[in-house]
Amino acid sequence: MRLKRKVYTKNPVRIDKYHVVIMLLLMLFGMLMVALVVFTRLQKKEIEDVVVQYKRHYMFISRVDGSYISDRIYEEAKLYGVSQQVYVEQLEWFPDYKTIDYLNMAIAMDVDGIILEGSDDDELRKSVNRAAELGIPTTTVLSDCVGSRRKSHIGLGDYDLGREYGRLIIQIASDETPEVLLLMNEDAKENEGQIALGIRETLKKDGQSLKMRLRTERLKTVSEDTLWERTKEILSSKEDGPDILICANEKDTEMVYQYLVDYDFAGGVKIIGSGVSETLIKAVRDGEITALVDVDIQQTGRLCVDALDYYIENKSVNEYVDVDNTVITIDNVERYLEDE
Amino acid sequence: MNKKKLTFQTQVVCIFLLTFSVLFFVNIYMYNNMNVIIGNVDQTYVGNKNLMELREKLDEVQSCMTEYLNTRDESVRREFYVREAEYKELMKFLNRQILDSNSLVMEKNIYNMSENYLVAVENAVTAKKEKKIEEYQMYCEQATELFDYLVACINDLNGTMFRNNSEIYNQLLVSVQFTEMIYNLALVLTGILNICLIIVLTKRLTKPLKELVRTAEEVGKGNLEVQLIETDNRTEIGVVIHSFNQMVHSLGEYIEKLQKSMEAESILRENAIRMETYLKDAQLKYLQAQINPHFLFNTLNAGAQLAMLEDADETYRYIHKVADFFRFIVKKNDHLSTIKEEIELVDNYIYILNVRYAGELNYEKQIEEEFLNMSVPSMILQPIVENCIKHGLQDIDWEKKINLTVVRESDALLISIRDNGIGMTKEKISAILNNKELEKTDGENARGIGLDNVVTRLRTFYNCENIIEITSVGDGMGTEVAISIPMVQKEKDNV
Repeated sequence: MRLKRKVYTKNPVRIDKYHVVIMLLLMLFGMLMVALVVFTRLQKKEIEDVVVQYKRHYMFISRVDGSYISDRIYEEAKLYGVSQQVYVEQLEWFPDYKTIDYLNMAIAMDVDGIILEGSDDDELRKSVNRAAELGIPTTTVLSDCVGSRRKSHIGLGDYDLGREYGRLIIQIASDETPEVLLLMNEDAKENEGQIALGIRETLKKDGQSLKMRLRTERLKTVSEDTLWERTKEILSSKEDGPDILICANEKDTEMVYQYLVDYDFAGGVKIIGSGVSETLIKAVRDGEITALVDVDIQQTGRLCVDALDYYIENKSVNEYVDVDNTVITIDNVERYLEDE
Repeated sequence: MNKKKLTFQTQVVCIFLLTFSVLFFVNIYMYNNMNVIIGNVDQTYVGNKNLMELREKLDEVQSCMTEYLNTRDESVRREFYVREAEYKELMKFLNRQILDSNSLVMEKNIYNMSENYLVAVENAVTAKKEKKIEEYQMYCEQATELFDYLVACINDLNGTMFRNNSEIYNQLLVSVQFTEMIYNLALVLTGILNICLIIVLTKRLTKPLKELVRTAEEVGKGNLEVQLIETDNRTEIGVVIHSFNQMVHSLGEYIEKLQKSMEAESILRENAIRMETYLKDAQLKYLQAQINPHFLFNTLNAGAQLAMLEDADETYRYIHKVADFFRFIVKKNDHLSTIKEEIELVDNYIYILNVRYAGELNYEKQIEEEFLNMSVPSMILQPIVENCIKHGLQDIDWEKKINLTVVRESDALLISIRDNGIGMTKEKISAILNNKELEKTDGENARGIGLDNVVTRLRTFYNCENIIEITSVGDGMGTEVAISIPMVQKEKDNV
């Protein structure tokens, strides 16, 4: 009788199905652990904010009632500030607080610089001066704070603005003797002459056939009702009614537009407005406003930051920094609507 | 280099430790992470809490200042400084860097405003103490204005933070729930994988044992042809398997040797039996050849004497019996005869002896005739009777009797030859039954077939040691020789 016995094979490493299954299971373990670690890292990353530190802190203070254009300029300044390691902040709206309060708060907050939508106000001037005494530079934007120790003003040059208005009048004038009315704020009387000069010189140079009659109306900001009444008188007047109405600020433009909408006014007055807002852009699209003229928002925002940076680094900066203007007409309104 | 193998116990412990460790570390990892996440949830509203405390402390500072300016009470001033210190302590929670977060920047704003406020408040208090009325009023106004700004900013920040924190809290809650779900899933998967791992590892570990059990069962059933398991396992299981393989192998070799030994022994036994048979046959033939002429000689003498003394009838009868007797002797060369033939031989022998010894032998027999045709080895009764006469009855002075009985006794046929002679000692009976009486018989009575010859032939023929029994009660009490022939033999013969 012979018993069968297999001879041992002495392989150094013998791979059998168990090895494969065990390796497979261990690989699954590994994959599970890796997935777990990755998941946990992602969770932690999601929870932990990535905080960027800036080297300067500027406060953006617009007028209390604010405007679309100033908000857009703030956004541009904030966006541009990130690339310059500057944090541009605009305080929340507090009830009963005026621009002067925001300015005082900014001074108390020891910010590195202030971007202010100025006005012709003594208290404001004092606060700007106090900020200057404390070493906080202020730059005004859109509207100046004349007579204060602000370091720079960034806005449209009045003369350039007048030239732009002149070019628009040439384009839209339907007869050779257009009646043009320029509506301005009461506190912008210094700008009036420069704007009118710009208009006249443009017409003289490029619109020689036109014999324009330009008059200026300074609206007193006593109350909303007064402004409304005056707007109504201007637009409904048969004798004094202008052919072209130029609104030099966004507020007047919106009021005039509101009048047109409320009274369904189709008197043939062509309106050149100021300010860029969603409502006004749509009005341009609908042909109710002929053109809108305002600052180049992106450029303005950048220049605000640059002006303060320049002053902090060099202790001096240009007192006036002109920005390019933007004209929205029926020809290019679609682009702005898309942006909106 | 020899690779050190782990013992069975170590392997089992390793499996347990591996799976346990995996589960343990996964649990610890997930537990810690969950703690971190829950800690984040707990920290969500800490900022609001700090702000509220700051706000309360600010009120206290402002109240103290106002009260002091109104009363100029020194205790109020001391309290003011305490509150101011507490407020400064709370200010430490506020951020002071310019960071990309509205809330954090607002904290910085509040911190700076607070510093300016505290300066104004301190100036107001100092001015009041020094009774500088205009100065303290100016600082008081300044402080009050800053207080209003601070309150507005803190409230605003608190609201903003609360909104943000509420969002964060909700996100964290969702995140916690999601993480919890993922971790539970991971735990279940880990558990399943662990179970799979344990099953696979233990299966791999116990596979040789199962094989061993299967093989052992096969071997237990007597199947030594089973294929032995192989293993390079050097654990205790490997040792057991190796030993088992060796045992099965050795068992096979032993059985092989045993079979060969048995075969050889069987051949030897057959040869021995054959030789013994040949020897007995030779002895029988030799004895038969010895007794015939001797007896014939005596018979013839007796016949001559009878012829002289009596008439021709008796002579004739005597010669006739003698002739029958010799005829049987000469004729029986085939070893077998019937009981009837054996009894006739005894009858003739007794008759011849009675003629020879003047009828002094009293011979009686009880025969169950149905067994007369049963075959038995030839020449078994006459030698016994001859022994009875020669050794039991020859020298007695009382009537000599011989009794022959053939009866059935249960499963055997009992043939009994009993005399009333001098009897036998136990030693002599034992010697006869153990064939130790042969030499003596050969020496002293070489003319007849000895009793031991009959005993040997009967035992060989029936393959039974107890086929013949000799009994003697004592001196002068006679002897009985009983032969028990198995009835199976009789029935076979009848068939």
